[in-house]
Parts: sequence; structure tokens; C-alpha cells
Amino acid sequence: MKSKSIRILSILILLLSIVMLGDGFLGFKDGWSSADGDLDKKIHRVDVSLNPAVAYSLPDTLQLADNRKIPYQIGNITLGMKTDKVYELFSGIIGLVSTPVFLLLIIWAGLSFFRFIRDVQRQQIFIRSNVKRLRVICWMLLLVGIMKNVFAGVDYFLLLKDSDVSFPGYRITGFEFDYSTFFLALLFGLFAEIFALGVKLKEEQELTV
Amino acid sequence: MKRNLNTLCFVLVMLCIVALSSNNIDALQLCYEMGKGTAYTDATQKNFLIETIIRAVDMNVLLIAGILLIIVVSKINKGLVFVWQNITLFRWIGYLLGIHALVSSAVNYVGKQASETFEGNPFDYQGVIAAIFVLMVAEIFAIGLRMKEEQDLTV
Repeated sequence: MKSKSIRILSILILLLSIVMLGDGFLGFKDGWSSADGDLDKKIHRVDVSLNPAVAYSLPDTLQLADNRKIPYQIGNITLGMKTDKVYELFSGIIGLVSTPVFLLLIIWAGLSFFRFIRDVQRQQIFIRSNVKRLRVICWMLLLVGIMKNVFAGVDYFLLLKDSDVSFPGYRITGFEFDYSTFFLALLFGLFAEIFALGVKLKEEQELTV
Repeated sequence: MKRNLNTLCFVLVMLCIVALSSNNIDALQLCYEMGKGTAYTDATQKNFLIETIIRAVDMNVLLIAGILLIIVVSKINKGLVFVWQNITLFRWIGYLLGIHALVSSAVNYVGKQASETFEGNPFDYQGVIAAIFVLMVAEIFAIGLRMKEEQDLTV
């Protein structure tokens, strides 16, 4: 019964991951083509979150052709900020170092995840390679979390903070530390350690037999 | 190994508390602004009440899942890894995450119907994958528990 449910669950995860991968690829394609459309390469897209100055109010009003008025608020906007030498240097160094490492890690972690699910589906659960795979995913997610925060930090502190950009009725959300990826990373780290305990238990059991 | 596990448990519990409190502080702020009358909450809108109830259910589902996760992690921290309570708790977390994924998919779908600019797929794949993964972990725990029970019997 248990092994059957594990098989079904792992097949479901594999199928959904493939669908999500396809969705992600489409998003990547869209992003690539929109980035290609920027004529001036010295302009960098910075995503900014806006909060109404009075929380949960709708600061703006849209007037329709039939004189109806619809209040609204802007949540996120993308600014085309002109970059300077300091920003180009920083982003150049970060991009040069992180892009290949990032890609390599994402492929490695993705493969590890697929192999982990495949082995679980084949009933090879408490094995050393699964512990290693879960640790790889944990480290990759930690690095992704760090990189995400570094990118957001560079954009905010070098381009936005001293730019005097303001929107009447809104306040610009400052740099917010994104901890969700770290949370996931730690969860995978915890599972890795639990799997390590399972492997030890299994090895002891095999020795006893 | 034990020290790694304890450190991870401690940091995870801290992050859980931060995530839960930041989520609920937002909701409390909304309640305060609504009470003060500064929040835009047009009660004449037909779907306002339904949307508020759905979001409240979703928020409470996540809150309970978070609290259950804190309980599991504290049990693991105490060295109680392969025990029946953890399997039950993980199963409940999986079910709650599944409910959250369905609710957020429904909210996204309604948003997509109402807006012409909504891009992408409204279905919350990540939430469903997380729910199934947690359910799978529960089953893996069950195997670990069976192994532990067999070993205890042998000893």
C-alpha cells in the first residue's frame, strides 16, 4: 500500500514538474524577447513595488468614457533606469560570475531532483546518493536566495535609492530581504539530514541481518 | 549529524515564525485600516464578501500548516524523527498545502476572468508540487518508522 502511494505521488510530481518546466520555458522566452526589444542597452529595467501612502486605500481614479469613475492602485511598475559606470561595473562582475554558476547549479539541482524522485519511485529511498542529492538542492537554493537578494540589492541601492523617483500618493517599497528561497533550502537541508538518519538506520539493520 | 539537524531545525522554526507573523501583521493592518475607514473596501461590490472569506480561509489554512510544521520540526529537534505523530502531521501539512494550492488557483482563475492583462497560467503548480512532495515525505517517514520498529524488535 505504502509503496503504491509513493509511486503514484512520485509520478504526479514528475508530471507536474515537467508541465511547470514548460511554463517556465515560455516565461523565459517572453522575457528574452522583451529584453531584446530594449533599444538603448544603457537602460536597465528595474521592478519597483509601490504601496499606497495610506495602507489599503486606492489613491488613483480612472475616468471612463461614460463618466464612470473607477478607483485603482498601482502595485508594481517597471522603470527604465539609465545606468552609470559604477552600476555597470557591479552588475557586469556579478553577471559574469553568477550567470554560468547559476545555470550550472540550476541544471545540477534539477537533475538531482528528478533522479531523487526516480529513485524513490523505484523504491530506492534510504540510499547515500539521495542524501547527496537533497544536499545539492539545499545548497543550490541557498545560492539562488543569496543571488536574488544581491540582484535586488544592487538594483535598489545603486539605481533607485538616490534617484528621487517618487509617485504621488504612494511610497516606494525599499529593499526587502526575500527569505522564501532560504526557507525552502532549509527544508531540503532538513530532509537531507533525516534521510542521512534513515540511511544509517538501514545500514545498521542490514548489518544486524 | 545531530548538530546539523538541530541547527537546521532552529533556523527553520525562526523562519516559520517570521513568515507567519509577517503574513498576519498584513491582515491585522487591513483590519485596522478597515475599522478606521481609510481602507478601500466597497461593501456594495457583490464579490467583496466572497473574496474576503476565501482569502481568510486561505490565510488560516497556511497559518495552521505553519504551526504544524513548527511542531514537526521541534519534535525532530528533540530526536523524535521516525514516529507516528510526525507522519500524521506531515500528512495534514500536505492536505493543507493542497487546499491552499486549490484556493490560490481558484483566486487566480477569478482574477484572470476579471482582468484582460493577467498573463500566465492561473493554476498553482508550485503549490500542488509542494503538497504532493510533503505527502511523499510522509510516506517515506512511514517506511523509516517501519524500519525503526523492525530494528527495535531485532534488538
